[in-house]
Amino acid sequence: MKKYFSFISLLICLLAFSNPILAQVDNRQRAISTIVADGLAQLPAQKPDVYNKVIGELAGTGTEGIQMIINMLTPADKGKNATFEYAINGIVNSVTLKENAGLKDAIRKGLTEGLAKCTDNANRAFLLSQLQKCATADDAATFTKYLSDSYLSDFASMALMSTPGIDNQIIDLMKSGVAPKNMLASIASFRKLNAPEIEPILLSWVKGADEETLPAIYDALANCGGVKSLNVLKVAAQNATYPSNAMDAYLGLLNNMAKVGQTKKVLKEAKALLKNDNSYIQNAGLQLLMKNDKANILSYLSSALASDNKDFRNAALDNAARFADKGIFDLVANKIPSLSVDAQADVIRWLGNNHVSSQMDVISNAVSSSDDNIANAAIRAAGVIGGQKALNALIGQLGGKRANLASAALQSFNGKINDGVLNALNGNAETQVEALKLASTRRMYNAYDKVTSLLNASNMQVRNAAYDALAGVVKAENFDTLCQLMESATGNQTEKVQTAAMNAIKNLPADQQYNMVSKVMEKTSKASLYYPLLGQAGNTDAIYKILLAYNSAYNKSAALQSLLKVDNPEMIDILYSLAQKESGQTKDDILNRFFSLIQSSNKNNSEKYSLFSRALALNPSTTVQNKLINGLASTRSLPALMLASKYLDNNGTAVQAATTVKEILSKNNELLGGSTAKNMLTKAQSIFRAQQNADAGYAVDEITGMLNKIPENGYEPVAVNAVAPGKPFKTAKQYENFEMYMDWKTADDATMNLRSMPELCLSGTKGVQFLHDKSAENEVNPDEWNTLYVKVLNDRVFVESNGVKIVENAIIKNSPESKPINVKGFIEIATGKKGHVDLRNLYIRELPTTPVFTLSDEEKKAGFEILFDGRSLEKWQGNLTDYVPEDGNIHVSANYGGTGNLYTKKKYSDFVYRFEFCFGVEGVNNGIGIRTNIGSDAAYDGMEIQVLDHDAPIYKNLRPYQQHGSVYGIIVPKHVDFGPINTWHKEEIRAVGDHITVTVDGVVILDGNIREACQGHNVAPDGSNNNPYTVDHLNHPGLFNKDGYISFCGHGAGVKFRNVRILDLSKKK
Amino acid sequence: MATNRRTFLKTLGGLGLFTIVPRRVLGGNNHVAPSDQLTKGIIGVGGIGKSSYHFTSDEKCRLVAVCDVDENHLKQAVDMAKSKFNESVQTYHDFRDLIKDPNVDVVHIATPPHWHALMAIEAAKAGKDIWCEKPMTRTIGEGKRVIEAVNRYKRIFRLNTWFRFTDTFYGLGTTVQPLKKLVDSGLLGWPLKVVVSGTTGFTWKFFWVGQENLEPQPVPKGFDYDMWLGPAPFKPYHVHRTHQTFRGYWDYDGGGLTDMGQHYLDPVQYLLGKDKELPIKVEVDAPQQHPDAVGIWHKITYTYADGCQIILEGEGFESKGDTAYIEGPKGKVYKGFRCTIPDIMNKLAEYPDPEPQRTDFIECIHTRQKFALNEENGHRSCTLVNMGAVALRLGRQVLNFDPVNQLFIGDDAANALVDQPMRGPWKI
Repeated sequence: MKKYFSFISLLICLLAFSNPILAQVDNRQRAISTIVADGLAQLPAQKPDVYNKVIGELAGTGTEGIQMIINMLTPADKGKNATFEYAINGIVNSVTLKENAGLKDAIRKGLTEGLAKCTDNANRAFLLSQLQKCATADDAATFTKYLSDSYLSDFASMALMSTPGIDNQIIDLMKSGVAPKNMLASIASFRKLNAPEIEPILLSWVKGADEETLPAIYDALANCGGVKSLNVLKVAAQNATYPSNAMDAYLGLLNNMAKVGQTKKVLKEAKALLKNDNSYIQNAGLQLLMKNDKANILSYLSSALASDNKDFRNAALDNAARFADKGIFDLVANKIPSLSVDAQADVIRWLGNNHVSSQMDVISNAVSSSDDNIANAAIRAAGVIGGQKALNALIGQLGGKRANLASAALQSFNGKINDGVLNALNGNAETQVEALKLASTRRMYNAYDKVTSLLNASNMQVRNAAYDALAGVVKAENFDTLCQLMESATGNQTEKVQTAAMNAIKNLPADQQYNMVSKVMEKTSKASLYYPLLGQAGNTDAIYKILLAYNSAYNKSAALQSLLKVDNPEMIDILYSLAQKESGQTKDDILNRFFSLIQSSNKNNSEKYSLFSRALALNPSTTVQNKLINGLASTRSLPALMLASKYLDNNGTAVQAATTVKEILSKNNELLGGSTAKNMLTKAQSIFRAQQNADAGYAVDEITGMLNKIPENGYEPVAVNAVAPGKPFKTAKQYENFEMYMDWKTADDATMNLRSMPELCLSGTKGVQFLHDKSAENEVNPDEWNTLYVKVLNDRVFVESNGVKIVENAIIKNSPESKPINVKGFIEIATGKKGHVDLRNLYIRELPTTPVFTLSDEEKKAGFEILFDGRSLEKWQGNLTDYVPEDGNIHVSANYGGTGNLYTKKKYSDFVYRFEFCFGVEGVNNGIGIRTNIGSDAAYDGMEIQVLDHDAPIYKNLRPYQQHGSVYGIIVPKHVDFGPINTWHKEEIRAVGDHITVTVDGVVILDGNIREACQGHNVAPDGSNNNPYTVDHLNHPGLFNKDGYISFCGHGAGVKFRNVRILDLSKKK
Repeated sequence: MATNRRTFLKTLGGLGLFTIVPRRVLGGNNHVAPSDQLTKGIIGVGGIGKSSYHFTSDEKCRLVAVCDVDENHLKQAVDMAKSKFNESVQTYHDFRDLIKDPNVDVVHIATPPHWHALMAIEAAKAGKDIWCEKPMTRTIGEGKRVIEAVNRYKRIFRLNTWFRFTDTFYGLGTTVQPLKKLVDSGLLGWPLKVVVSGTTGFTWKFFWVGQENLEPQPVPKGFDYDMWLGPAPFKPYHVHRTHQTFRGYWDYDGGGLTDMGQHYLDPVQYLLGKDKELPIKVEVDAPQQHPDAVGIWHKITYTYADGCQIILEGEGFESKGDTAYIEGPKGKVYKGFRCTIPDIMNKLAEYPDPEPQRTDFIECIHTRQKFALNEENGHRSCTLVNMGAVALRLGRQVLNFDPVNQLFIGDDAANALVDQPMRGPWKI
């Protein structure tokens, strides 16, 4: 393992001083080819730190390294390039960083040479654009060369545009004229070359240029030319077949000329443009004038405003705001009376857009203009500018025909509107109505007195508006007054005052609200008016007080309505007990609220299921039942599925139940299987089929799809009995691998056996405990049903109690723990001398039996011992978290966060070790450590017999001593051809003294003597880190270990092992 | 007078009017005078350009022309225009011909992003008003050029993403208006951190990633691949590069970040009051990106000079909890306007609503007023998107930015991606 991913901590320390003789290796003594292979194996990097490290190392390999990678590129239809593209792109990006400038030349060299050798066009284009990114002046010649390459010319041209510091080379090219003129013109234009010799060259190209070249030359003249180009572009703008390009070039040139001070000429041209037929070109001319002739800016603007062209007028106004000084606004505003009505509106919009506050007199007057456009523009402008005058003007409109616009402008008014609105409350009736709305929406608490006085206004509209407004202007200090008002109000006014009273205190702490309300209630004869206020308070006291009213039978329904508004999770249990007592619509109302409180609570799916199931047991109306069954779908659990399925037979709930069943089974693949689920789906399908609408049609199709793929095996119900002393529960049959759900309830303690071994304790106080690790806390209520989930797979167990994880991937143990675990057994629950457990809803899904490996007669006779039979890792130690038995194989998992390698429990010296392996993904890398020690690196402490998918493209530069089957770094094996991925291979490792033999699929690929291979020098005789005797030139201090553990080294996912057995030869001696 | 169709109608009055649109003359109360009626042409009628939101035609703005480099798209569009609006639209293969068409007032650009700037500038040069789909441009430099052209000819430009003025804003489960009001009120304090994430539907990173190792395929009949590529570097055809899935390739777009990012970032720029500002730094946490195919990313952080931050939390389906929020020193607001400040709605009601925005594009054209989301603020929010794309493409975990010159600081390779050369004859 370690050889490719160099996670070598120990070795790095040993080799920290690099050897100057070996210039080709890094500080970890890796050759360039190794660094490249190491790096490629980790690309694309998923994490920034890995990216920085790997790309940094790759960039450090310089010309040789990048060429090696370039050589791996193949035509896209012949192989996959992505890994190499990631690498090259990453390297090039990294050397464009200032801090890596020192690496750049070597990479450029590699790219240039690689490009010259590359024959595939797409790859050449890729390399050229990579070179473009890191190019310097020295690369100009390379790019120029490719200008005449039919495939690469565009790429070369783009590279010449963006390479820094090559202006002179471009000029030379233009002089020599070797390349196509349109390309050179485009390059000059992109670079905005302004050397004096450019313009004459470009001008000389105009005559005789074709339709394709001309636009490029015009564009270049705009960017690189000067006054000499003026006439050419002007004529072209008037005559060209596609005039806008030439015109734009002409305008661009004028802009550039203005920038270098040739204003007089520019203004002359620009004035002529004002006479152009097209107003957008007039706009462009006007912009040149106003930008470059600021002294006359007002006169340009004035004459533009006199135009009847709206586009032109607004262009002038926009220019003025950009180029004139602030005084322009006042000057223009003064001209408003002389302007056309349409232009006046333009100017007012413009003043508003620019938040010009100095001209509010003009705007205020315009607010009441008889012209709608002017008035609307002015109202908007007044609102966005703000200020007292604007406020007065807008308030003045509240009673008129533009009240809505004025009110909206006030709602977004730039500043405080309170004083204005308060004054308006004294205005005429229409104004008062609008002002009341504003006072309320803007929460003008100081309008409270005025609003309450308007509750008695003689005008009915004002009166009603005042009642509506009340809730928006109240504070806690108004509470007592509001209570009095509420008690004396009549009709729908009562409710409005009640809302106001609630608003007045709603932000106080619940207890304080409760105290205030209960104090008023001591003196009232209309207690029911206050229930909503108690409901809003919603603390325990308030709930209690409303409950008293509810129980007194007096005002019962008012009390209930308030209870249903309480927003407090305590209500979930209370509502449940209320629902138990009520019936009909009342019960429904209660359960509806119960449902929504649960949905917004943070309860887990298992808890939600349990609450929904209790509510369903109360048998509410079908509407509520359907709601609850719909809620079950969101919990996606097996118990919910089973419960919902019971409602398939009832007409009123059948469609919802069918929907829930379909939802759960489609979203939770684990539950889709077995005859119970199949029957449910079939029933659900027939329910949908009877519906005959489009959605039901889709559901029918969806279920058909599910039925087509449903596995035979699934959760099936299993009968249970209540458990009492001497009367345990025991399944009728034995189980090996299985999952189960079960509801249980007890006030006592009980032991639960899995495979007939005591594994769990079910306790009415402490919840569910795993007997071999009691750390999980999960209190339960002895009076309530609990839901238990258990999965047993091979030697692992997973347990959840009420949706909370108790253990995951834990190792099952027997009792006593020294005893091997049972392969299968009963599920049993038993109590001690006293104690009682209720059980229900047991559903078990049997999982496939794990295939078991047995020795052949021959191996049995020879004395082989099985180390892994498919079912358990009992004979192993170390990382039992990531190495998991699955389907009869050892799987390497990354799901549970373990670390380290897997080791045999026993040590071995001479042996025959047989196993099978399979690569699940390309490029897999693992290894078999032998005669090694726990925690050390087997390749150097003991030996590592390489396990590697060595023909993957990323291992193109693999050294022979790194191949599959090598005694890593010591003895080179014969190359194995593995064939396709996912093929199982048989391997035997025979270790007798110094003699190692490796056989794969019956072929001996390695047969050698480790002592001879290094001439006895497993470490360098001179004590250095460079060992000329080992094939990898490294020291292997533990090579001659007499014995040690056998290990699997490394845990990248993707490799599987099975049928592991050993013949211990040392025993035989 | 090539493009002054409306002026023409105004000056010649009724004479031409009867022959052109007789139906309207008999129209009822809401009829639009032909001189006030606009016409539009859509460039790109494959995906978004054919959607019901964009493929429209009404009294205020008639659809008269469509353009596409795929014959199939054109044919479908013609049929749709006939069946939906009873309009016989002019068809074009080359967008320059549509732009030149004097019957077109408004050019609607619904192509992949690598064309947006080129077409917008071309339309401005021809005096057309412009509706451009997001993202506004593929590079920061292109955005600057669009601003210049639109301003030179004083055209009305609408960048089309709408969350700053309508619809529930993706990240926070509410429209932007109340959030803007909250920010403007100062109740949250300053500076603010805005986090947009996957718990609220921000799942774009899972879509529109590109594919590596594409094997060349023959170009389908009726599809002008060379014109489709236009300014983009030539790469052998593969179907995944083009229609709809083009979003997964850096040459044309930049995956979910650039294709959807402006939807999320533009409203945040607006609500932070940063329509005239840009960040000074972008930080990216992402797996390594392929040079051609866009990949996924985890997190992008933008920081402004005043300390405000926008964080795109791209954990998507994986992220849990309250990861979409706006946080200031004095308070924090979550999805659905849940706020740590007690009684926030009442407190907020005392403040004015945000300044009204001009959101009627047709009205803006008639009054020559800037649309709410125009070339200038549109370019700013698009610049955020493009800053992120540059950092991703170069594998830079941090890039510093000069908001005034709109260039990266001390990174030539990053700046080379600000102003990118175009292929062949194309230039802006």
